[in-house]
Amino acid sequence: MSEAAAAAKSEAGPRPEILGPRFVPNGIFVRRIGRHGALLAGGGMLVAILLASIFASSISPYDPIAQNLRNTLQPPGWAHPFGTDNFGRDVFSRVLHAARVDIAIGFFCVLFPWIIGSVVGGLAGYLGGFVDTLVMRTVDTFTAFPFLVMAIGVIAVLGPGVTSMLIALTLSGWSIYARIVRAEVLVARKSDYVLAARAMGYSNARILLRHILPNVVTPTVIFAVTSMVLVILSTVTLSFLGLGLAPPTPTWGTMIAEGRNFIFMAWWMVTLPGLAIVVVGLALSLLGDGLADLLRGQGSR
Amino acid sequence: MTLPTLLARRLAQLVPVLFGIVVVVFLFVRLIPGDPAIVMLGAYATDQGLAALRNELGLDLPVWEQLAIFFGKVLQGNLGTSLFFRRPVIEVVLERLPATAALTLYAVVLSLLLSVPLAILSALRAGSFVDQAVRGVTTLALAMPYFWLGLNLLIVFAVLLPIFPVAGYGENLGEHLWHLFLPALTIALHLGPTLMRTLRATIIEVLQAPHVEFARTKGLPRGKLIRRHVLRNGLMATVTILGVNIGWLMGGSVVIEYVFNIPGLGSLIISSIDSRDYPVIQGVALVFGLLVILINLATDLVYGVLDPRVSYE
Repeated sequence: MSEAAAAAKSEAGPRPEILGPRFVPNGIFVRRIGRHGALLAGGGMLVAILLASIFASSISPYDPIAQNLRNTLQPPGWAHPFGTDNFGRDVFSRVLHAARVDIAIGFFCVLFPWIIGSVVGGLAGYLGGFVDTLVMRTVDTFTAFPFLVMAIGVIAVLGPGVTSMLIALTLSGWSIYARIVRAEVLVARKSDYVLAARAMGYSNARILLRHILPNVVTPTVIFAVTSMVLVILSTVTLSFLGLGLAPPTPTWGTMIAEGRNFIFMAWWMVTLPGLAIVVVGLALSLLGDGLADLLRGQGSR
Repeated sequence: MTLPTLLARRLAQLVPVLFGIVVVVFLFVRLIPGDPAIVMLGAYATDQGLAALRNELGLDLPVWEQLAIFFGKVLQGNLGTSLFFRRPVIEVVLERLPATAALTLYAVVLSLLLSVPLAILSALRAGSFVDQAVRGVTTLALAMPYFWLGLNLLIVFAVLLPIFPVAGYGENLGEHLWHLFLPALTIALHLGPTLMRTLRATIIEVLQAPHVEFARTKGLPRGKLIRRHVLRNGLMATVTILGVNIGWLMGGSVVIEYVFNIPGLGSLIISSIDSRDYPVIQGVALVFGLLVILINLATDLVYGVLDPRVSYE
């Protein structure tokens, strides 16, 4: 990554000032600092969230699934910072415990499509010919379905649950990685270093893994990091629709779904668990933007 | 290349994708673990019911024949019979399509109204406080889940301040616009930021292009310069982003319809999961796939109209 960082520095050098002061974005320097700030802020927030989720049992004031039917639908206050739900359970404790499950699911839902899509795209680009055509038409087909419609269809077939969710999001997410990696491999395949490796008599597998892979992986990392927000939001949405984990294990999506039935009397059951998602989303998008700029080596956008 | 030739060629390119979509939709039901007929009809199904459904789906035939039959039916517009509504799927789907189309269109209009002025403001004062604030708000908006934002808008503008209706779709155009405002706004608050960011980046880029520099040198007033030379280029980027995001946009409308109880395709597919109405799930997925493809085709064609420089090879 040091090359990318160096490229970032050289590209951010003095820009031509021929345009007159009125239209030149004057914040280039400020924004570069801001970008690193974004990276640090996002990373910091994420570390804090991860720590909170790991030590959820010690931090949270109450048992997340212990019912207290004398204490239902209490508004937020000193005893219950996020209020209580229709079973008298402490919403704050439930939000903390849900974090671990939600973040873990989100992580794997990014990881699987990333690996599978990259492998398929890499093979298509490297092998070319019929394999390439077949893979790319399949990619076109999968990108035609709206993300959620695809996921809903798959979960309808396999039944709700974490495994189904993982399969659904992998099936609807892999195609973009395949497309990115294939395009990169097509370029790399014609490069001098691959020609040299081939002249040395290396096997296809070795060329792909040792020579091409390190050179094509960066764009997929950028995409994976920036898409993490959308993936987390999608998994939460699927849980909200009742297609993820079954109760009583709290997840943010199911908590909001339960709160939806009490929207007229207990806004905190909907609004406050969602705040947790917003905080995670914000952390991830700050981190994603910062990392993408660092790897891509530009200060604009 | 003339437009008809172009259209013909693009349509020919679509054939494999259309084929793929039908295959994927076909597999939805065939991949159900166990006996699809039992899963679809539930544990209390009668033997006659099961036999009839197996016969209708052709489950006793080899897979290739099943696919061929399915294909033939789809080409005739026959998507099977809904297990829940006991009516042809195509009828049920077409009934629900207008609400989804209206919601999507409404959301696109609202997001353009939101994002275009903000993008211009932000781009012309890039780096300023206004720019930073607008960018901060868009980042925040993108970090929110659709459905949560919608529920909060409901809490504030329908429950606490009873301005808008809580649910439903209304009877006539005026009522539709009124009922769909909050749901469309929810989607717009998500789509808007993406549009805003791209448009802002494009405007900043165009502002530094030689033709804009020339126009400024010859003394064109600033307002005219922006309208005539900058915005037209920005329009192209906007169309691209709308085309790219159309699938995502429609997926989002699925959840929003569910949240606001709008009788569209999205709420249909979700209620069909509970009732295990697989033919309807297939039908909705097929229609969504087709719509996305057609809209992308339309986007490609609009390019040529908006930008004479685009020649289709």
